[in-house]
Amino acid sequence: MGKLSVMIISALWLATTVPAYGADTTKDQKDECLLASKNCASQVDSIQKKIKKLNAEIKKGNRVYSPEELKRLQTKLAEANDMLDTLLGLKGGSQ
Amino acid sequence: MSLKKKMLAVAAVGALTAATAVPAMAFENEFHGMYRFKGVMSNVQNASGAHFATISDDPQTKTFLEQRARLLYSAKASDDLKLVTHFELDYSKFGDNSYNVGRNNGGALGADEVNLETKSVYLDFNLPTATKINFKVGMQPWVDSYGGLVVNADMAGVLASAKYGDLANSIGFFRFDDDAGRKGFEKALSGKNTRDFLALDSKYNVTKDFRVGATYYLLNDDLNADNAALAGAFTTDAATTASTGTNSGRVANSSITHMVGVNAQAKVGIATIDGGLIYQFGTLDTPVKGHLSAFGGYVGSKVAAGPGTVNFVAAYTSGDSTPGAGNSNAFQSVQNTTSSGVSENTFYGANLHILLRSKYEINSGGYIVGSSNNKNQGMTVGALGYDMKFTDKLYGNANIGAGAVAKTNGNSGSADSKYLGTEINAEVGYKLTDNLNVSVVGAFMKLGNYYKGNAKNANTGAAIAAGDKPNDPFYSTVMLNYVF
Repeated sequence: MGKLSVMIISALWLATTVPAYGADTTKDQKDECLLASKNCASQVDSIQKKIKKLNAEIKKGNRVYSPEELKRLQTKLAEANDMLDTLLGLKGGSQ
Repeated sequence: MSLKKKMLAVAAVGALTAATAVPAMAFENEFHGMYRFKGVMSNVQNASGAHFATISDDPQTKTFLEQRARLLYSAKASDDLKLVTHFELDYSKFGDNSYNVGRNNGGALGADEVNLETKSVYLDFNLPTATKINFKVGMQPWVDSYGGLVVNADMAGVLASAKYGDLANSIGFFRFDDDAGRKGFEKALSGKNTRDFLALDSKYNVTKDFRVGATYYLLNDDLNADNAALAGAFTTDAATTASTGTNSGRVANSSITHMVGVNAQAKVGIATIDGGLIYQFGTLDTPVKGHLSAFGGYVGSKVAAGPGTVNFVAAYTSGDSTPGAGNSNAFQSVQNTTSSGVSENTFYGANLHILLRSKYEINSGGYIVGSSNNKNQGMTVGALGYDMKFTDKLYGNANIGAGAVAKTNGNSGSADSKYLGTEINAEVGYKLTDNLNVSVVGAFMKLGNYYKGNAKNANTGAAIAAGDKPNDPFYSTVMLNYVF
């Protein structure tokens, strides 16, 4: 019983601390987020990186994703490409 | 394992699931944007924002620095619901103005200009039906299925799209203008004097590499053709005039343009080919009452060749030799009614910088063919280019393109030739980082016989001699592009 409680608490602690990755550093670790804007907890992908990652995931194909999931990824890729076109002025108002 | 232990184990798994699932339910705030800086030297562009270049003899060389920034924020509740907002901040040129209110300004000493432009604000959501129907409601970017020959703009409306297997359908209603409340139209009723656009667009994937499409667009223009006449009518008849609908003095437009078209895209070996053809018919109230019968189309191909890609594009829109009389054959591209830079269509496929609007354009203004309507002259354009990567970071392209008007008319001056000229251009760029490029573009155009004896001196205003041609235009720029 005691072992199981420890397991539950450990598992919960691990699970809830994962999203905070990168936010804190140990005593001897550099803070790459402050130093070089890398590994920040709130880091988000640029539009190019997002497109690159989506292409890479779609390439994995049926080996990893179900047809329904692939369709969702393809929709997201189309949306990201559309957003890039809009930012660059290829779609939408250009003035 | 005893029942008690089993329950505890289930509780542990449940707790873990709940704890790890929390981030997936989070609201997603997505920011993207771009920044472009251009140092321009040209004898044809002048940071003016005007779409049509003025070709004149002895044009002096102009130099200016301009910039554009765009910021896009998307508030995403889930894959099925988000709000998209898109803003723009432009300087027409460094040094233009400060401490003032105006778009495309604020580049002078002190800055502090009120110059934030709102490009898009729309809600994007999916109906939770068996076949998801996507809705985009609000001010949104939209481009036709013909490379922008008809319209490519931000427009307010409602767009619904759905996919049924290999078939994709969309229907959109957009309100381009509503005169009510505008100066001179204060008593007009909202929804009466409007210009509306309806778009039906279907695409069908015949195979993985071959897609066909069909479209129907409708541009219904009930705006007032003569603002002054309406304003005058209100002034003299204010007591009895409740709306434009009851005002006998109303001078209104009632143009209607139907557009039917087909388009296709195919991958054949190393080539990707796309194209479309669109026919326009209806009635026009301006510039003269009459029927419309016009067409336009384009074909483009990209072929992998050696270390790069060969691009070929040809486009045509019909023109009219007497746009001020009788029926019209002039292709109708969408224009706005609220600015001096009137064109709301683009055609970037040709990758040209002087003959057509460049994809890098900010507000420099001044290209030979300022819209696909091209002052009712129409256009014929063909371009061939080669695009390649020299290394992972170094890239470049070179293009040659020629253009002509489809018909000369009263807007062509004294031109007795349709040939506008031939442009050559080249770009070399270097990727400083994944997101930041620096590049140099140079373009030169050899003017055609359209301009022979058909231009004025830029300084004196005197017409050039009959056999002479004005100076050939050139354009060069150094650019920085940051996209994130």
